[in-house]
Amino acid sequence: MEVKNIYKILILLLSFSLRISNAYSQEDVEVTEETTYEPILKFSGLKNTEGNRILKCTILTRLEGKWTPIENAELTFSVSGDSILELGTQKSDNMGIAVLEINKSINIPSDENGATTYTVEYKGVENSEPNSEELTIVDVNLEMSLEEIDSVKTIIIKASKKGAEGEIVPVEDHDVNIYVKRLYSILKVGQAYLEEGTGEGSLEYKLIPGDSLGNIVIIARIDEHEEFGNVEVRQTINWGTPVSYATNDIKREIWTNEAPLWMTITVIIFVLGVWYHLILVFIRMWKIKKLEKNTIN
Amino acid sequence: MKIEEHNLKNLKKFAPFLESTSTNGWIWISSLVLIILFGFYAYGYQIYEGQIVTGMRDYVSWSLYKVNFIFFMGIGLAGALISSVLHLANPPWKKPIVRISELMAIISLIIGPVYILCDVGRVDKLLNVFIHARLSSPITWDVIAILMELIVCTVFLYLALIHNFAILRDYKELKVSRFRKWLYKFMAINYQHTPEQAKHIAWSQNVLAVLVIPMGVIVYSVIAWLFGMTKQAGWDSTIFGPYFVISAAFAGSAALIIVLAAFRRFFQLQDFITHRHFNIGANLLMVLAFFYGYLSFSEYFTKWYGYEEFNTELIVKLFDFSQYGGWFIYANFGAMLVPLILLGVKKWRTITSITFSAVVVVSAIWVKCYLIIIPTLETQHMPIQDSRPEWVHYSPSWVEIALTLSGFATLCLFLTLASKFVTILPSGAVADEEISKGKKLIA
Repeated sequence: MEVKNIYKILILLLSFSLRISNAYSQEDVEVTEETTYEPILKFSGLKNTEGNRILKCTILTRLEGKWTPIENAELTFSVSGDSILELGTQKSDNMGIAVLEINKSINIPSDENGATTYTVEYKGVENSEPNSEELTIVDVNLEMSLEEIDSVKTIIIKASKKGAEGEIVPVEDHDVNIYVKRLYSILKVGQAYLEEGTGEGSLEYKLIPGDSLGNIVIIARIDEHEEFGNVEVRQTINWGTPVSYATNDIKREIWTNEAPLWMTITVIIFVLGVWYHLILVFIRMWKIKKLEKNTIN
Repeated sequence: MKIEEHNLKNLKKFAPFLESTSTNGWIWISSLVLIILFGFYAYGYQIYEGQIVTGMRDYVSWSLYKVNFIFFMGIGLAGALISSVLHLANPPWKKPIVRISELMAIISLIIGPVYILCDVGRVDKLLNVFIHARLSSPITWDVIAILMELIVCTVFLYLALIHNFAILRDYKELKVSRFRKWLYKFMAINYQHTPEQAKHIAWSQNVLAVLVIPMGVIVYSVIAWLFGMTKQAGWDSTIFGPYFVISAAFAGSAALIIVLAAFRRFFQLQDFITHRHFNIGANLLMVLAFFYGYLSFSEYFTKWYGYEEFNTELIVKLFDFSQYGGWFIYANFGAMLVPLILLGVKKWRTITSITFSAVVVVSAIWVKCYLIIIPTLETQHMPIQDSRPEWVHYSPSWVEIALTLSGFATLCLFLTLASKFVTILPSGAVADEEISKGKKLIA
């Protein structure tokens, strides 16, 4: 086989592999100016400690094969029932998230089961389809009390909702997650089971590091429940183990006063020694070239 | 410059390799280039899509890339150590080994750090390592030490090549392009093999050979200390420095045996690389196998016996056959016992069995690098919050595997290309038979 032919085969193979990679990278839908986006809405609600309802909607669309957030999309939140009550309009941020907080003083209509249907609507723009999403949540009243029972620190949870005739009925046979607030996120420490009949549950508190004064934030949450959505209560209490963040560790850093002198000197001798000898070698190499020139002349 | 007769004889043998490439040679080079190109594609894909395309997640943030970094740096260290020790000891049989060893060292030292670039999420911020270098950081020591080692090794190899470049420059019958002739002339820096020039070269080589040995040990120890100074299960060990250096010498010697066997076969160097060279390599492997076995036993026995909670969890993973047990046996017992048993019995000691042992050792040490990094990262002191359980266990993605294969292909390609640019045997190399004759005459 001649060398030229081998070159040809190589070029063919290369172009073939490039074609494969090109085809692979373009397997997603090609986006043109005429493309109409079909956004999706992710809708969730949270009832916080103050009793306010926080509605959160994330708007995304499929773009170049990826779910991409839509920024500045106008999202209208409302409550649907016998009549539609508009709650407000929010623009999505760069993550495609729009949040609306409804104060507990606002009277939100609900059906005979205490369920409220919230709607979020995106009206769409020129090249983007409209969309809407509904979320039905039963209002739950979650209470947390922190008590010492027989010297045992105990987290007591109670949950209730409105009955068909407006009476208060306990929420039974459910788990409530218990967390503590940490630096970046919340850390799950256990669960409290809501007993039948009472709607009460408890969890024995274990020693957990708090801040320098021993304060700790305890959070009870019903997480992403299909009927109740997200409900949480938070409370700060002096139950944590006080942590002193000041350390007396000696900094083990070379080039600082903490490093022993012999260590610094060793490193300097080593680095300078290598470069000194390298420079000597370079000078010798230069001499080799120079020597030959002298011989010729 | 007058070319000595034995060099002329070598040149005649090697000139065809320098002048042209056979069909098989082209197929070999093309295959390697294709593997490397696929590696480039994988890296481009990783840059474009982000590191989510790798197997790295919250727990294991050092992957095959770091494994390969340690492995190649180890091979580089061993190559440098072997060539400089042979240069200083100057045994009569050193010539066929020394150049291959130097080349392997430099190529590995170049490939190794590239894997750090693959591991880094924001390569565009790489310059910050130099601009905002903190001298108190072991990472900075590592960068300084590796760069210095690479520079010293490159100059050491170049000094050894100057005489060869001069021979190639003055060998009129060599049919290569004018550019290549010019390159030989340029690289030969007007060397005429005068006594004074030879003296300068010898002095420089001796100085660098002395430097390379402690430098190599220090560079690899600094890499080991990156682990040893970290409070992680399995890493917080005082013997990691010597353990890494011995493992590297072990793997590097084995890798050199494999490369020697390949060159011997493909360049028909049976007269130059003989059973004697492999025998010496086998002896070296056996000695290093003892050291490696001893240090491995010492490391794991103390950790197992100490029964510290965070180390115990790791040891259980390493001993458990449903997890890493099989690989642990292969990496520790395989690497030690295969050379000891196979090469310990005289009648079993053939070039094939020595090469086979070397392959086992190289692969076992690579697995060892994997076992040092991955299971430890999977065993954190505290669970990471909001991390998915399926992200705890690491398994490499096709991107990491492609780049790993690319690294090995690059080593093979560079060795091949180097052998097409300069004679793979240094000037003054003579057949083993002639060395024996010379000895008899002296006697």
